[in-house]
Amino acid sequence: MQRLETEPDTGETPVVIGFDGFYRTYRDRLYRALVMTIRDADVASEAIDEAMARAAERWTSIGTYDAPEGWVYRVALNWARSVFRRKRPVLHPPELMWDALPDPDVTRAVAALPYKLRVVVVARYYLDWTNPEIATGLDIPLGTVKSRIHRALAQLETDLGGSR
Amino acid sequence: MNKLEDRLRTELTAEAEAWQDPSLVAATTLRRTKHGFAAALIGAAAVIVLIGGVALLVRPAGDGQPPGSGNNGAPPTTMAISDAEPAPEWGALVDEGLALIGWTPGVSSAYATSGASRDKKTVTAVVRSADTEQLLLTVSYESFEDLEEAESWPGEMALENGEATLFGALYSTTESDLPALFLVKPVGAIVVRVEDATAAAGTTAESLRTFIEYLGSSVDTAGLADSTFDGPFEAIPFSGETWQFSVSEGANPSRETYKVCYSFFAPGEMTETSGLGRSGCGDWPGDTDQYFVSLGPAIEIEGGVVFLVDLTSNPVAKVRIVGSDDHVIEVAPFRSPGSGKQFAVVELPHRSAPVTVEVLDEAGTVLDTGIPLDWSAEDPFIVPEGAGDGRPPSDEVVAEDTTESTVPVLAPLEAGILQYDMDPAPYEALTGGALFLGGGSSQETPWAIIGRVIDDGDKPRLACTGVRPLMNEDVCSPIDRSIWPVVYPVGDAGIVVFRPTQDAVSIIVTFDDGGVVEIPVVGVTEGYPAIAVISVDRVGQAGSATSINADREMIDTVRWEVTGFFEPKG
Repeated sequence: MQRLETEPDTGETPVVIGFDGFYRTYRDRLYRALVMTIRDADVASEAIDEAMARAAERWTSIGTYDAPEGWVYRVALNWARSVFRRKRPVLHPPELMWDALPDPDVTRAVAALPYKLRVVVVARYYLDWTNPEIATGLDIPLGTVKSRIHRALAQLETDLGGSR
Repeated sequence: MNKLEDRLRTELTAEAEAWQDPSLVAATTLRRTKHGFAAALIGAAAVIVLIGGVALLVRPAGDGQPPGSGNNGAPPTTMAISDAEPAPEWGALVDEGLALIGWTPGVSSAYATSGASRDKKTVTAVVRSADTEQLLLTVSYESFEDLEEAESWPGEMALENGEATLFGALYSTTESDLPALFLVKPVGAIVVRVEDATAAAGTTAESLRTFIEYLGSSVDTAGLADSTFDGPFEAIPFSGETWQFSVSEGANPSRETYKVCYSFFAPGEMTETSGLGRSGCGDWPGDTDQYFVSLGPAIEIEGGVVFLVDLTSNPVAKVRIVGSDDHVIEVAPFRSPGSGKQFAVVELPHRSAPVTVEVLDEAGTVLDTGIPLDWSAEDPFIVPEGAGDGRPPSDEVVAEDTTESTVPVLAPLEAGILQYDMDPAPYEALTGGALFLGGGSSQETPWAIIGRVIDDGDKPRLACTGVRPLMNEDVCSPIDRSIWPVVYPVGDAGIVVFRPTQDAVSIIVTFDDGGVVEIPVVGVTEGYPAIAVISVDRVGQAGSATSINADREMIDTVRWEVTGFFEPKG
């Protein structure tokens, strides 16, 4: 994961950070990952803010995690899911946006993945987390991460006509 | 890197940028009108964190292993403390796995508590100053269960608040263990290197005690005994073909009560996903003369239900359950050894509903009789999980309650205490401006803020953590069966905010010192979380609360207790 540092890490001197630095560093990036996963900009924004608020409240604890961003991302995902559980999602017409993208077929294929596969794909290829980092961040077994990545790539390969 | 992965990285990066380009997502952002307030709240929260002076000491990124454990992930085998530095004093706690605490003369006490429930496990470490008894640190960790392929919790931790440093590492040896290691030291006094912990990992409480004594440091055995978390108890006589019942307990910091947790899970080893039906925790023994906490179906099984009789710690010799079909079952409750908290669990066929539950003493005298319960109405169980792509549609509708209540119904909110507004509202100052409570909605989700305003001549600011009680505050578990009582102070009294599930229409609150009221749930907006509020006026006030749905069926029951009131500065 991207390490959060306010000054170059010499490998010797610990770096003191606070929640505000964490927020500035990760908020937008996690929001983008979330919106690509849940496909709802409004809920994604709410979810990230909710997760960040919780992290702020408990920063003395969350801030000690090796990867607080993983915790925040998982909280946001869970929060978004809880919203969707209670409300039929509004399906947005996304074609306008997709058509403006360089490779919209890929976007469509990723969006068509089942939720659980989409989560790991976005974490792996947008957030650039390693499989162990995804496992920790999403609180799922490493083996599950690997199998989901494998299944997602297989499905994408099929949907995109064997681009591998 | 193959072509597909290249395409994914490129396209996802482009898409991520596009989502923040208003010209590309304008059609999707029409509903976002209140997000700005949430961001402001986060900013405020950040300020609070900074004001609190809590800084995080980030160690250089390592390999995810505890320091000195570079042995290819194999469990470490020894623990070494630098000879050049004074050794800390050691205390210890053992959970299902291991939790070990050391503290120095600068710290009067340090303890860890932990609990396991259906959805999460937690370890909390608390450290107090020897001189002032000031709370120095509180650190909590949650959800260790999915460290399936990890030999250890990823990395060490260090937390500093200017007076003491909590430093250590957490270890997970098996999926079911809840191990932790905390080492505490005053800032700059010593450096503790955790090179290895296998000597303790996976040991029992007794052997860990021996291990600590082997370290040659003074061991507070009284503390050991008081902080041991026992269970799940193996002697619980309640299980079925498809379920098992589990109870654990651990002494609370006050050493006067125990945290008792129960859960149902599928036969076999308990895992995060093997939980079934209801679960909960409470502090026992309680100050009550009652026998029942709650009664009701906990799990649906083929042809019937698993019925939980949740009793208090007042001794009961037998529980008798009489069904309407003359089905009679008598069982001895399980009594948790430390707290005395009791449970009984039986399987009952649907045809037995409604049932009457009696508790008896040794002589067979009926001590109390529970309210007859009928779970035979259609679909008394919530199905929380959706399907498909993770965006499960919800057709749930909060039905209008047309039945008559048998207990008095209070006004939804105590006048003058809670200002509830479905739009973002300015904070409502109460009691001279020291305390406030605001409410509103964001993305149609009700929220409320309860806290304290400090106005010390600079800029009024929020200085209390009682914010956003309407949100799901537990990030690791669904809220589908929880009520979440939270006590908030208001002046010299307080309120208890309950957050029932979305299908709850009211909450029946029982006071241990007598009285029962039914409070309608308010704040339901298209099935979003709702709240119900009662006012309380003294520390120690306690009772239970049961949420019920439109069919007057019980959804969940919790205990609540007022443990203290907030004292505003000035």
